[in-house]
Order: sequence, then structure tokens, then C-alpha cells
Amino acid sequence: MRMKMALVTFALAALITAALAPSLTASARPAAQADASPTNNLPNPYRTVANYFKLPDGREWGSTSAVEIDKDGRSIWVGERCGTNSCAGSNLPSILKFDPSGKLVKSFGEGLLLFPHGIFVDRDGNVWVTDGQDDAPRPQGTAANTLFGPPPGATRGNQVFKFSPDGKLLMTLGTRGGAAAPGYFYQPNDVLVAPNGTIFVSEGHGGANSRILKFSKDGKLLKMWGTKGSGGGQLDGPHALAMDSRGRLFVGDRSNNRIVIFDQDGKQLDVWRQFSRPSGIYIDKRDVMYVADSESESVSRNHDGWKRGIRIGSARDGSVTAFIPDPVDKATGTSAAEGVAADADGNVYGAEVGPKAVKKYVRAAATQTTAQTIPRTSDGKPDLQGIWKRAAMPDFGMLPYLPAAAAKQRDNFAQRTTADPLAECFLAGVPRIMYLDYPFQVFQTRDAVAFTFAWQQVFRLIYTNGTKASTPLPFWMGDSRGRWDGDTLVVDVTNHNDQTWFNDRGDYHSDALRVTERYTLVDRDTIRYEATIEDPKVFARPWTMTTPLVRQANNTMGRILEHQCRADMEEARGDFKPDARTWYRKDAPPVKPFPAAQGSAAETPSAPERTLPRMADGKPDISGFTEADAGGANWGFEPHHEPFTPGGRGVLIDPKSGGMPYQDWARAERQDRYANPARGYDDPTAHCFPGGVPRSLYVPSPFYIIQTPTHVVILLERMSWRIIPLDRRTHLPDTIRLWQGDSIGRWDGDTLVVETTNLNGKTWLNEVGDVISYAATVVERFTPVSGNTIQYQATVSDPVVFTRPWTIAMPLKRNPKGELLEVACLEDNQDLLHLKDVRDGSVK
Amino acid sequence: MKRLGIAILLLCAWALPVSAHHSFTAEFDINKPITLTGTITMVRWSNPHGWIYIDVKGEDGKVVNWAFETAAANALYRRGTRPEDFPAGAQITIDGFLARNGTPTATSGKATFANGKTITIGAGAVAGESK
Repeated sequence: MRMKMALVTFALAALITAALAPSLTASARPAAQADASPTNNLPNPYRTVANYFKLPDGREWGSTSAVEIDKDGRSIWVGERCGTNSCAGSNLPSILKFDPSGKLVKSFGEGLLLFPHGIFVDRDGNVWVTDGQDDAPRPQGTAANTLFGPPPGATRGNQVFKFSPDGKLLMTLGTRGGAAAPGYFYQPNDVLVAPNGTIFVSEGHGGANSRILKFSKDGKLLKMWGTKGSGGGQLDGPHALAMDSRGRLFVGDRSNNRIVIFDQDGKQLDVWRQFSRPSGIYIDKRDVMYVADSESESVSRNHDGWKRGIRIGSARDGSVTAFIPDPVDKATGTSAAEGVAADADGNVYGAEVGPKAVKKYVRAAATQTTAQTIPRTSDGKPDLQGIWKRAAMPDFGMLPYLPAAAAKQRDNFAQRTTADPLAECFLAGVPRIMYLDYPFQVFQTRDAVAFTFAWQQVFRLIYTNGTKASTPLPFWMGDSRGRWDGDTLVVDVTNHNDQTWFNDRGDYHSDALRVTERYTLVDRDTIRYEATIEDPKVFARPWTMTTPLVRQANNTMGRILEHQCRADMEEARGDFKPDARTWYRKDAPPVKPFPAAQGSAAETPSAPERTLPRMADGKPDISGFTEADAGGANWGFEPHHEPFTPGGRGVLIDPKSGGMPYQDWARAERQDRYANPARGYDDPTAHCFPGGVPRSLYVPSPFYIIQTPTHVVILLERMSWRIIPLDRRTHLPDTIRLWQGDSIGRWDGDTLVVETTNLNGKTWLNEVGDVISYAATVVERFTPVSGNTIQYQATVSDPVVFTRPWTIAMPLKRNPKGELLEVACLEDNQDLLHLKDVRDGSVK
Repeated sequence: MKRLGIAILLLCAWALPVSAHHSFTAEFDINKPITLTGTITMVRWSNPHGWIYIDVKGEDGKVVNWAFETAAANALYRRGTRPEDFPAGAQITIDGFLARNGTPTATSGKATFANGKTITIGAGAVAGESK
């Protein structure tokens, strides 16, 4: 029985490895083996990409052994030895960050490190680097391997540095120039930070020391283990560190041609030899292990028969499944990668000392198809649709400010916590909206590309229909016009106001700003985003920022949610208070729906014209600029003639008499909202919060409908959106509640039927206070009846508020020439101040 | 209101529809129509409401800066009105209704310039008036 279990476990592990590592059928050397025979004859499913990473003009690659993946899973950090094999005497930055496209985006460490050797990015994105040498003169006649510490005269080196993601030095471990036992370090090889913050350093690169040092997260030495030797518990040149998902510490015990696995207190758990002579080890989140051998049959002759290269396998069971061999057959020195890392997509990076290079290895099968198989729309353009988020903040560095503008930026910086427009949840502007840390969803038609952002439900409507900015007005989000330049979407953004910032450090622009954005789908899951900034009032010259946008493939809901920054803020500080009767609560008792038979009689619109404009998929074309002929619905659903607010013809079509079928409490609430001026403050739209469903369509403000075969998206000029998937069948979990609810649409003949649930119950139905709650299900019917008219109906079934369902109806009118403007509402909301005065009793 | 020293003309309560993103009757008082003449000091070209600020000289000679709410800037724009139509220093007469909060604030209906030109700056034209 135990045997059987073990077999099953192994089979599973092999399956997992096969699925996650390169897909291979061969799997060599499972489990630990004391005396392994060489693992050379394994498939190499990778293609080598040399010269992938670009250094600034005039800078040459030196030796590298430190390579690591950023917290974002895609950017690459490299420690580079200043064009040679040491940074002594050089003032070049040695710590380099590259974006996934291979472009250098950050560099630092000038004059600090002599010999960047090992590198690690912790879970907070901080970058740890070991400096493996010192600047002491080598004493004549002293063999380096007899030294436990640095020779006299060392003033620099032999330390471990912790940098912030921006390159700020946060912590230094070790003595300047180095120290011997009981001090440290001498020749620190590698550093690793466990998820709980505990720090491990491996030390000894030919010296008489060879040990692991363990520190608390604030740098206090907790423990050391290991002496130089080849026996159990001994190490000889612990060149590399890695940790698997179980928290086991893997030590590349290089000169012993083995990996020793310890627990975090130094207890030896296992010894593996099947990964050859380990100069570098990398274990990814799925426990795929990559081990670099740069010395067998060259520097070292005690390991003949083993080929240099990168072996790939499993940290779980020790199997080796693939091998990227050193292309150099005969070498006498270090050759191929010493350091190794693999990004979230499984691309492998090897850092080489001898060849002075960092090489990229991509799965050959994948690369052959990449260029041809980026998704494309039916008209052949790259298909940008999907859910995306920036991988990392762009690197702004020193911007080319004009002198006066630089002073203003410093003022902004000093006041940034309050002066940043985002502190008030104001519109973020372009390009900043593109790299907020929130996802956005892209929809694409021939005439437009729409970006809908979770943050504040902002959207961008980028016209790609050949038009140019048509108004002289400034907007927070600018005016965007796009065109395709080959496979790149180029967007010209003009008409900016002077209110938004580029980032939270106060980098800013004037209303002379012009932004040129370039969106390039480099593979299925990555958009290369570039924004070139021109603003002659603020900057001496144009400058460009870049960041990858990454597909959010792990979004299983098929939609983004809402991050209503402002509403959350006002609720948190008590400026917008809950109503237990209408707002969703997790402990709300179950609501009994109205009997299914008790529908609401919908009027059958007149038969559609045969000449209705249609999409390529045969569905009626309901896209474009549209406005409700709302009949004053925002001031009441029943016929009304107010002397003051707009009158209304009445839009309630069911029930036909007796008015809105309120329950008693809700009728009283509606009357209070209507008659008591103090309640005006409670209307969420007075706070500029979303109008909800169905109100968003009949507030006096137009909208723009984007229609694709899979989605109908309503972009509301009052800066909110409704995404209506046509390919989804189930609503979000009940506990997720949204201002605009969760909508699912389907075509019923030529009528688009949209069902919306998951409402948060925070909205009002109109300005006179008609009531709706979280329990509402709203079924809307969009029936095109002529080229530019859609008959719209909304049936609301809300058993918390009403005694039966009811239905309103109104036409929606399309204007093919209309364009959306922008409503920046909370950015200048004078009315709410007045309403607050009234609520607080200062009525005159 | 006397404190402000402003001459307020009570008008007959003609229908003055407005666009709104707020509970309109809560903010302004139907029973307090006013007409004021002054010089434009500033235009706030914003959404969902704009504002025109005018200096009004009271009977006591004291100048008070009044704020008149207009339709949404987007609605004004779509009707052909532009921010430049309200140059600072121009004389203008605006009629509307007083705010309830007691400050020199009102909503607006139409604006009349010294040369007799009239612009509807309230939002009635887009708000679906009784049909």
C-alpha cells in the first residue's frame, strides 16, 4: 500500500513537472542519488537569444553572474561588472534592470560594488546583492585558499547590500572590506531572503571559509553553519542559494559538485548530484529548478564527463528533464552561465562570466509561433482585447524640466500627500491612468478602442475612425485619436488640462501637453506601452516612458470589478452613510423573489425595419453615440409637471395605473427624500458616484455604445461604464456587490436582453428619490426600431422595496456624428457643499 | 437677505427646468426667484454644472460676488455656447432662484447681456421638459 502511494505520488510529480517545465517525455534521474552518472543526454527545448539586453550606447558587457527576476515576474535584474570582470576604478552603475523587451529601464550602484556576484529580489521587490571581492592588494606568497578573511588593506567589498526597487540603499550587512570569523563576510557568494524576511548568505569562494550565515530580517546574525570540506555538513564554495515552495534551502556546493538541501536551521535534508556542478540555482514558484554549470570539464577537472550548461528539472523530486548545453565544447576557464533565473513565462536567463554576456533562452516551439499567433481581429489588426494591468511603474528618472518647472515640481513633491490629484480620487489623466495598479479591460472595433478601468470606473474612448480632436476644450483625460502604424496602435492625446500628474512624486505638465502613445502586442500576453511626452512649457525636450502591460490571465471572472476610490473614501470617513434597508449586507436575510409568473408586461415594440444597420455577425448595430429621450425620468417616472424641475411625460408603462408599486416603508422613504431638502445630500449622484442601473441611461447625459460579437459596453459620459458580456452565463458570487451591478446580455432575435444583479443598493433611481435596493434584478431590453432609434425598457424586480415588478420605457436616440465629451464631476463639485449646508441646517 | 443688501425681484414662478446631478429642490428654493445684474468676474466651465460669478453692487454700495449655477458645460457646449461668451468685465443680467444655504448663490435660467443678447444658461433645453 505504501509502495503504491509512493508510485502514485511520483507519477503525479512527474506529470506536474512535465506540465510545468518544458513539456518532455523523458525524465532523468528521479530522486537523490549519491553517485550519479552524468545527465547530459536530455532534450533542449530552448532556442538561444543572444544580445537580447541592450546597454546604453558605448557601454560594453562585462562579466555577469548575478541575474534575477523582478517582483513583477517579467523584468530582469542583472549585476554587471563594469565592462570587464571588476568595477574597481569604474564609476559605472553595476545593478541594471531591464524590461521584458530587453530595454534598460533602471541602473544604480555606481562606485559602491566591486564585484556584484549574487542577487535576489525579495517579496517586496527590494534588490539584494553580494559584493564578492575586496580591494586589498594580494599578498605575495599567500595562497588565497588559506585565508579565512580578507588580506590587510581592504577598504571596500565583501558586503551584502539591500536596495529599494528604485535603488536606494536600505541595508548593509557585513564589514566594509570584509572580516573573518567570528566577523563576516569574506567572499559572500549569494544572498536569499525567505518569505518571512529571514536572510541567508553563503560565503567562501576559494577561501578557507565555507559557510551559511542566517540573519533576522533586520540584519541580526542568528546562526552560522558549515566548514570547508567535502564531508557531511561541510561545504566547499557554496556558490548559490535557492529556496523551494516548502521553504527548503538549496545550496549550490560547487566545488563538491553537489547541491545540499538544508532546512532553515541548517539541518541537512538531502544531497543531490544529478544537477551537476552548481554555479547558479533558480527555483520558480512552481518548483521548477534551473541549475547552471559553468565549470565542469573546464575550471574543474574532478567532474569530467558532465557537460556544462543549464539543467532544468524539479525541486520537488529531483528529476532532471531538460538541458541547455554550453555551445563551447572545449574550454579551460568558466564558460556558459554561472547565474540563472527564469521569468513567469518560463523564459530562462543565463548570466555568463567568461563570455561576458546575459543570454535569453525561450522555448523553441513557442518562439516559432509568437510572431504569427498574436491574436488578431477580423480586419487583421492585433487584437488588444482582454484584461490588462501594468507590470510595473515606469521609471521616470531625471526628467528634462525647464528651470522654473523644476521648482514647481519640487513644490509638488513637498506637498504630494495632499496635492496629488489622486489623493482626492480625481481623474488620473493620460498617461498616468495606464500605470495605476488596477486592471483595465480593452474593447476594440474598427472605429474605436475603449479602455475601461477598474479605478473609479474611468474609461478612455480612443477613436480610430480617422477623426481629429473636434473641440477646443481641455479635459482631465485629454482627447485620444488612434491609428494603426503596422501592428502598433499609435494614439495622439491632446486637449489636456493642467491638473494631472505623471506620478505620485509631483511630476506634472501644463495644458500644452501632447502625449503620443504606442501600444504593441509583443506576444499574446504582453503589450509594450510607450508614451512620449511633449510639453514645451514644462520640459526642455520630449521624453519617453515605457512599461509592459500584462494580460491578467488569472482573472477567472471574465470581468474587472469596480474600485470606487471616492465612494470608498467618503464612506470610510462618514460623509456618505449606509442605509440598512437598501444597502447590501453580508448578513442580509435571504430575499424571496417575486413569483416567476409575476413578470412585468413589456410593451412589444413595433417590428424592426428590415433595413436596420447590422454588424458583420448579423446582429443589429446598436453602437455609437446615444442619448435617452428620457421624458424627465430623472425627476420621476410618473407624469409630472414640476414648476421647478423638468416636467415629465411619464415613462412607467407597468403598472398602468396606481403608480409605483411601493411597499409602505419605501413609499414613506421616497416621500421623505422628495420633500425634505436635507435629504438632497443623500442622492449618490450629488456625490458624483455612479448612477447605477437603470438610472445611468436616463440621467441627462449621453453615452457611447461599443459593440463586439462578445460584448456590449456602455461608456457613460459621466465617467462610468457598464460592461455587458454576451458570452457569460452566470453572475458573480452573491457577495460581490457593485454600483453598476453585474450584467449579462444575450440577443433575443433583434432585441438585446440584459439582466443585471449584484447591485450594491446604494443608488437612487432618480433625483426625486425613487427607491431601489440590493435585492433588485433589472432586465433591460434594447430593441432597435429604426436606423437611429432603440426602444428601451427596464423591468425592475425588487422584493425588498416593491410589491411587484414594474417597467419603464423610453426611446434611445443615436447621433452618428456625436462624440462624447468628459464629465469631471467630483473634481469641481460645488453643489455638494451647498447640499451639505442644507443638510446641516444652515437653511435660510 | 437684507444683510446682503441685494435687491431681489420676485418673479412669477415660471418653470425653470434644469439639468442636475443633485437633488435640485434640495439645493435651491422655488419660492425665491431673483434677477441680478452685475459684471462677470469668472466662469467655472465645469460638469455636471458650470458657474458664472458676477459682482453685484447692492443698494448700500457694497459689492457682493454672486455665484450662478448653469447647465453642464457639456450641455452648454452642445448648444453652441462657449466659455468665451462670458468675458470677465462684461455686464450681464441673470435670473434664477436662490440657494437654500444662505450664501450669495443661485441657479440660473437665462442670461442677458448689455447689448440685449440672451443665452439660456440653465439646462432646461436638454432636460426633457414636460411634453
